[in-house]
Amino acid sequence: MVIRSVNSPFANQIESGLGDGEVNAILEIFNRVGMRDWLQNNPFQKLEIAPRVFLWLGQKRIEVYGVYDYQTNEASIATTRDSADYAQALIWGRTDKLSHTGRTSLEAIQFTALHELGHRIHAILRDSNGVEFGSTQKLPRTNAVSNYAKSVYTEYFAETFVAWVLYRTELFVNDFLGYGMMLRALNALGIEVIAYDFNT
Amino acid sequence: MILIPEKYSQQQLSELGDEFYDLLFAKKLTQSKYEEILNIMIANRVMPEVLAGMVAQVPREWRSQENQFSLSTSA
Repeated sequence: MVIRSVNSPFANQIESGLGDGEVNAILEIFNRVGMRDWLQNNPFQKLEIAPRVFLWLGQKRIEVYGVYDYQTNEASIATTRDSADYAQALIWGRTDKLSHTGRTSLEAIQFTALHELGHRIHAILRDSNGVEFGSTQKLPRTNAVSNYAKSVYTEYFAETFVAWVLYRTELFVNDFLGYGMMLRALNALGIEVIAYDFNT
Repeated sequence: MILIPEKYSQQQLSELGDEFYDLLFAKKLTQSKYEEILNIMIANRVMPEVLAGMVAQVPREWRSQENQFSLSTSA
């Protein structure tokens, strides 16, 4: 597979073996939720979109659907999805990852892209003066949306961001602390995210 | 030989993960601390994404210390 760089407003560099159309179909989610302008001003340093994404521990490998590096502002997104890992109903607090609630494989990939965007926003917040949403702000994660969200505070932020986009009303009802966190975070950065419309 | 407790609670694992990121963002994470935390996470079979998220943050040379880790699951 030939890895090519793709022009995009969302990242300084995109590497993918996919065609432009496929890459754009995935990243269309950023347009759809109104994040294009913000991302143009705060792009990923690099986005890798590959059939499969691995991280290596010595000769052992860990396969994931997405990963974000806070040190380099680089994210990777996998396009191969196990059929068991999408088209799942949301069960608050019991769903493994919100990307699994994508109704199609493409939607699941897009929801992973949203998750990585959540990390990007978290990283910007951490770096900005006067706003601390990192180490000093550890909210109880008892009512977090997914098992992934309960794991560590970085994943809590990213998953709660996805919940803000996809399931805002449910977030308000089920995890008011997370709702408040996201409200303050997005207000601090002047971000208005359009709620995802599952009907279009 | 490092002995790793067999079973950590979800709460303990969460606190450990939080500690990892606290140290990372404070630029105080050492390789030995990283290996200690990761070994516990692996032994307790945390989600692959959580492991990968941590591994992705550290220098590549830290990741290549094979035999330091007891990753033997499908993670």
